[in-house]
Amino acid sequence: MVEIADILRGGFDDYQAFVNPLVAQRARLAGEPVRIERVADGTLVDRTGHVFEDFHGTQAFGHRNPHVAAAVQAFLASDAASWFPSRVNPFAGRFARRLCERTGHYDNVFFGLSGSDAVEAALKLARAATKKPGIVGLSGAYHGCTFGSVSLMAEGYLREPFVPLLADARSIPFGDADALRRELARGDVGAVVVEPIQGEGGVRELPAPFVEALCEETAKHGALLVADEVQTGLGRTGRGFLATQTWPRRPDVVLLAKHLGGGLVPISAMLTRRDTFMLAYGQQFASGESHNVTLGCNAISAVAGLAALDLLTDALITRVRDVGTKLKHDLTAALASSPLVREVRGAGLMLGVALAPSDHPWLTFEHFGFPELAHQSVIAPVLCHRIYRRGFFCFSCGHDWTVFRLQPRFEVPEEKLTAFVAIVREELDKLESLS
Amino acid sequence: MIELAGKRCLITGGSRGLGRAIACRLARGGARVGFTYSTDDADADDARAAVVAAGAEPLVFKGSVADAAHARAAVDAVASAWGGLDALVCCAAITQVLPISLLEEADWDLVMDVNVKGTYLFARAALRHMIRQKGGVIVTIGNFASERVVEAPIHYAASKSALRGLTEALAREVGRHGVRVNLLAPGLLEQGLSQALPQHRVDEFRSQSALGRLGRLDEVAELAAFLVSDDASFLSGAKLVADGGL
Repeated sequence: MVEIADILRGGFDDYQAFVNPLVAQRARLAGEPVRIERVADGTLVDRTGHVFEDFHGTQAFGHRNPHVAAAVQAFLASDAASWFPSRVNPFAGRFARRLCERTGHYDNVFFGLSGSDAVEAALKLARAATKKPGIVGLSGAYHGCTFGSVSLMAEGYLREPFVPLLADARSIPFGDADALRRELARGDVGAVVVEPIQGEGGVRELPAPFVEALCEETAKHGALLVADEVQTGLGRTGRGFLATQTWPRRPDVVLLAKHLGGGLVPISAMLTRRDTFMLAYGQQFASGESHNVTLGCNAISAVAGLAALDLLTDALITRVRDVGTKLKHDLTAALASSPLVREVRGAGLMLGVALAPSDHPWLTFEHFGFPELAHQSVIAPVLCHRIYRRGFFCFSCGHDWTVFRLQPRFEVPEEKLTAFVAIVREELDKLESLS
Repeated sequence: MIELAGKRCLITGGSRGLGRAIACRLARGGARVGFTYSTDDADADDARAAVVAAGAEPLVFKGSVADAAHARAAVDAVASAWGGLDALVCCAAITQVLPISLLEEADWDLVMDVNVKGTYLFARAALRHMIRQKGGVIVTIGNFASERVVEAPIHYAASKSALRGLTEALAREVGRHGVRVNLLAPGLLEQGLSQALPQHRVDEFRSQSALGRLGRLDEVAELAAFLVSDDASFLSGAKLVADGGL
C-alpha cells in the first residue's frame, strides 16, 4: 500500500538521494518552499503551515482542482479500461472531439505525455508531410528537451551539453521577418516553429508584422507553421482558447500541454487539420502508426483533460484577460519609478517583469559564491528568493535571468494579486537600497 | 560501548538530524531520553519510534527553544518524571544560507534566538536541578562554521562562535557545583548543513579535510555519548572538534 503521509515525510530526502541532488540543492539554496505537505483551495501549504500561491503556470486551475480530481476518481471507480491494446481508445477519441470542437478549426489530434512529446510529433509530422528536412525556429526559443525540440533551443546551458543536434534545424533572429523570408526561400524548410509569446526567452511576444509574414510566407513556401502553445494555449493569454486564433492564418499545427490534463496528470496534444495529418500518416497502413507514444492515449489523462475543458469556459478566459490586464497595469504603475524595472510585458496571466541588473557588486552571483554564474544577472533569482518568503512561488526565465515571470492560476483572487504587487515593490525597494 | 545506564538526558532539537542521532545513541547506551522539537509532529513521531527501537521510552516536548516557559516546563517534566536530570544536550539549531546583503534583522534574530538564546534558556533551566543535585553535564553543539576555514552564513557562524564563549564561561561558573559543560563542534556532515550548501563549498570542505570526506551523524553522536558519560569526568570547558582534520 502506498503510504502518502510516509512519502511526504521521507520522499523529499529520497528525491535528493535518488533523483537529482542538484535540483534539490538548488531549491534549498534559493530558499524555495520545498517540503510541501498539502494543497488548500488551489494553493500549496508546507509542513509548517505557510501557504504559497504558485505562479509557475502548470496549475492554471489551482493545485489539485476538485473537478478534475473528481473526474479521475469517477473513472477509477468504474471498471473501464485505461489503456486499450488496439490503441483505439474511446476516452482519447472523446477528448479529441471536444478539443477540436473547442478550437473551432482543427479536426485531428495526436496525444503525447509532455510538451516535448508534442513538439517532437510536430517535427516528425512536418518532415513526413512536406518531405522537406529543414526546421526553423527563433532565437530565444524553448520547445522542450527531446533531441528534436532541443535542436531549436536557444544557445546556452539547456542546449550545449547535447550537441551535435538534429541536422537541418536552425534558428533565425527573433521577430526578423527578412531573415524568415531568406530562410524559406532556400526551399528546404518543412516547418517553422514559434511560440506566440516566448516563455523562457523572456516573455517576448512575436511582433505583429512578423506574425503576418509568418502566416503568409509559410503558406507560400509550403512549410508548416507550427505554433508551440504549450505556454500560451488553453486560455493563458486571455485572448481565447488559443493565443493564435486571431492570427491572419491559423497555424497548421498547434501544440498544447501544461494544464491540458488539469494539472493533475500528464498529457499533451498536437492539433492539425485532418488533411495535414493524412499527408504524413495517411498514405499507407504501416505509416499510420509510425509515430506513437504508448501511453499517450491513456484514459485517465483523457478524462482529466475532459474535466479541464469543462473548467475552461469562455467566462473564465475573459476573467484571465481582465485580471491579467489589471495586474499588468498595476505592476506597471507600482514599479514605474523603480530603477531596477525596465518593463512589464506579456498578456493575460502570462506576464514578465524585465529587471535591470544592479551595478552593485553585492548583487552578483560572484558575491553569492557562484563565480561560474558571474555572467548571469542575479536580480530576478534574488527577487524570487525574497518573494518565496512572502508566500508566492515565482521564477525567472530559463534563457533570460533578468526577467521575473508570473503565471498565476486563472481564478487567483484579485486581493492576492493586489498584495503581490505591493510585495514586489517592497522587495525591489529593499534590493535597490542595498546598492 | 560507552556506559550510560541510568543517565537522565534531555536533548533539544531531537526530532531529526544530529539531535535524533544523539537521542538514539544515548538510548542505546542505556540512558533515559527526553527530547524537544519545534514544529514537525511527523518528524517527532519518527524520532520517538527510533528512540524506542534504540531501547528507551522517550519523553517528548513540543515548543520553541527560545521560549523560557517551554524550556522550564520541559526540563522540570524530565526532572520530575525521573527524579533529576543528568545531561542536557543542546542540539536545536537552524541555519539559512544567506549572504549578508540579503540578511534581514529578523533572520539574524531568529538564528540567534534558536541557536544561542535557546541554549542559554535550557542550560539555565537545567542548572536549577543539576546544581541542587551537585552534578550534571551540558553539551552544546558548535560548528566548523565558526572557524576561519570555510565561508559560512555570518549569523550562523556568529551564533556558533557565541556558543563557544557561552560554553567556556558557563563551565567556569558552574564547575564548582560539579557540572561539566563542553562544546562539541562537528565539521560538515552528510546530513544537515551540507545539503543546503552549493557543491563547491562541500568540495572545499572535503579538500581541506585531512580525511577527505564528510562526517556521519553516528560518528558525532558517539562523541556526544562520550561527553555525557562519566568517561569524560575531567573534561569541562572544552571544545571537542570532529571535523575530519580541517
